[in-house]
Amino acid sequence: MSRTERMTEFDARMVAAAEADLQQLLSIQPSPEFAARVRANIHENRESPAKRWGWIGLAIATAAALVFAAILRTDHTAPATQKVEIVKQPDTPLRAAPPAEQGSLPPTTRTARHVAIQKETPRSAEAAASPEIIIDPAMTEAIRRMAMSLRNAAPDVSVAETLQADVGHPEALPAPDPLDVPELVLKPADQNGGS
Amino acid sequence: MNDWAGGLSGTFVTLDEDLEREFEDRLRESMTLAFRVAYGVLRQRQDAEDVAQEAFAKAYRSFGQLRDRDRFRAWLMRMTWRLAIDRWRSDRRRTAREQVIESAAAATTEDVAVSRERAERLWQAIDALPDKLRIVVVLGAIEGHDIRAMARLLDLPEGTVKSRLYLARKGLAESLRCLAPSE
Repeated sequence: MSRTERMTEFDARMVAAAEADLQQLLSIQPSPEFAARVRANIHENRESPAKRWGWIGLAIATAAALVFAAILRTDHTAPATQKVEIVKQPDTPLRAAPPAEQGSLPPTTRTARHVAIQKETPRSAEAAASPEIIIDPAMTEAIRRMAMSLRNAAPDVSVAETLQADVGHPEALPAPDPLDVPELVLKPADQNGGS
Repeated sequence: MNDWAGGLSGTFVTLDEDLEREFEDRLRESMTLAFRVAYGVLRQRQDAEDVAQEAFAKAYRSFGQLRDRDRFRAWLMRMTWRLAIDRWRSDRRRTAREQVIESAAAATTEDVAVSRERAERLWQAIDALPDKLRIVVVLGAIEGHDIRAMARLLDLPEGTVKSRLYLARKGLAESLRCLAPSE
């Protein structure tokens, strides 16, 4: 039967009877417990958001506690004097490097803005940067005495010759002139003040 | 401050109570419609009640947007129909044989009144219709819905409902003729 074809009288009667039967079949009523079940189901639905929010609240509280604990721990472990200072420095173009040896890297120019982060160093590190020189006074005295003794002694030429032989230089070392050091004479001070 | 907070909480309580009361009204007036729509597809009392219950649960969750009486009824009917069709299809796919046994076993008093064979033929003819034609036949048989009421429930123009009803009747006649016992 096509869409445009009209129904016959027989078909119309048959359909009318079928619709009447269907009306009778669908006049069924839900069970008496149906309404109660629907209400109970809705009641459960009403409670579930509270439960869900309870879980969400618990999760948020746990996360907050963890973050708080992490912050506290960080505060304890970090040094008290630590301070971060950001220093901006102007760009420093690097000059071309001297003729490079074979295999070395090509000369580069530093153009990026150089930002140095300086950290205040602890006191022990400061001390290490400018070390204090400590010399034993006894050792100082010994060095002084050695210098005085060498000043009065004549140099030993044989030592120079030995060194020359060891090194193997052909030309002979010139013999040093003996040092003419006038003897130190102590005179009594002039009574008149040297005038 | 306390007065303000007390007044605010009082407003929320009142709003909740209003919603509850309204929903209870809608439930009472639409319960049978939802059940019958589901039964028109599933032909099983228990299944139909389950589906209608599910539709009411969904309606409750969106009741804020469905407070209008006509809108609620239409929405509920369409939701019930969709849920029922989904269940009917999955049942049919799962075990076609089991369904035949169950439907035979679940003959209601209404089935007996109509005569079981005629009822079987009628359901078969209705099942053979496409969904959009099937729903107008079922709705027309429930609570005596006319074209106008069906158009409101289905959110369709009256002309569309009228033409669908005509096509549904023709399809039904054809199926019933084929299914009729030869005399």
